Amino acid sequence: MVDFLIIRNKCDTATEYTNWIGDGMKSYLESKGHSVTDLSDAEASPEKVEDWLKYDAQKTMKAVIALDHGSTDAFLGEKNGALAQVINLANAERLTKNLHVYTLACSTNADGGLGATAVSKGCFSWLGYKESVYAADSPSFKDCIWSYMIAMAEGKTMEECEQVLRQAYTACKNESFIYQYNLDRLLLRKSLSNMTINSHNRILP
Amino acid sequence: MTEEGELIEKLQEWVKEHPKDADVRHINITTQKEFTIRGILDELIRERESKVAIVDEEVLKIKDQIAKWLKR
Repeated sequence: MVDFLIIRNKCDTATEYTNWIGDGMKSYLESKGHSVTDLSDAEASPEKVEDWLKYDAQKTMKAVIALDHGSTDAFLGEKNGALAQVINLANAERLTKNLHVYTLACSTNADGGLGATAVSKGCFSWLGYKESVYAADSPSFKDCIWSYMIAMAEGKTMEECEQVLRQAYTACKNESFIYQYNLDRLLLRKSLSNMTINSHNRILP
Repeated sequence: MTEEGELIEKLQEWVKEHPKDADVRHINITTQKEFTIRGILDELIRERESKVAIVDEEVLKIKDQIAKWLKR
């Protein structure tokens, strides 16, 4: 049983960037007292994600950090070296019920898409983007993406986490157009207000 | 000065002021188009000098986003 599940495949050029964002996250979260499973590269398979997320198994208890490809109807992992859906419209309820999901991926939070479906079926919150987005190979970008994860780990409310991320993007906007671009497409969907990963999760009844 | 010329001039100024940021590798996660902002500037200059228009839709989209960004 763990608090956080990190999913970050590495089977093409884009996921080399997003996988790198997750380097060090497990150690950081563990240093703050959280337990973590890190499904990196080939480990980010549909079978392993299903095993760690399915509600009945109760193996991931608080949040998912998902750094990878996405689309309006699926979040992708990897199988046999190729992209493969790991969370989709069909399994979203079973895999994300009573969890918080934080994504760096394209389009998962489009209207009527995966994030919206997940939240409507019991996922507590889903932070993602409404369209395709950019990544950068820079410490500033990594810090930006980490800001939401750090805020969640500190027990901030999801609204506060979102504000921390928005402020992090805004602080970097002179470094590249991508910060404002991603910020303009960022969206937090939530089923309730003022939740934290400690107040709303799979541990509490 | 043309709109294109203004964009190149503004971007040259930004690259001069932010040389490290200009060389940061970026990627569109969906299309996997990789680029640096300095690389986009070079393409715009090549287009102006050769008078051969850029046709890569990804580059054109990035160019539009950079133009919006520099106007803010």
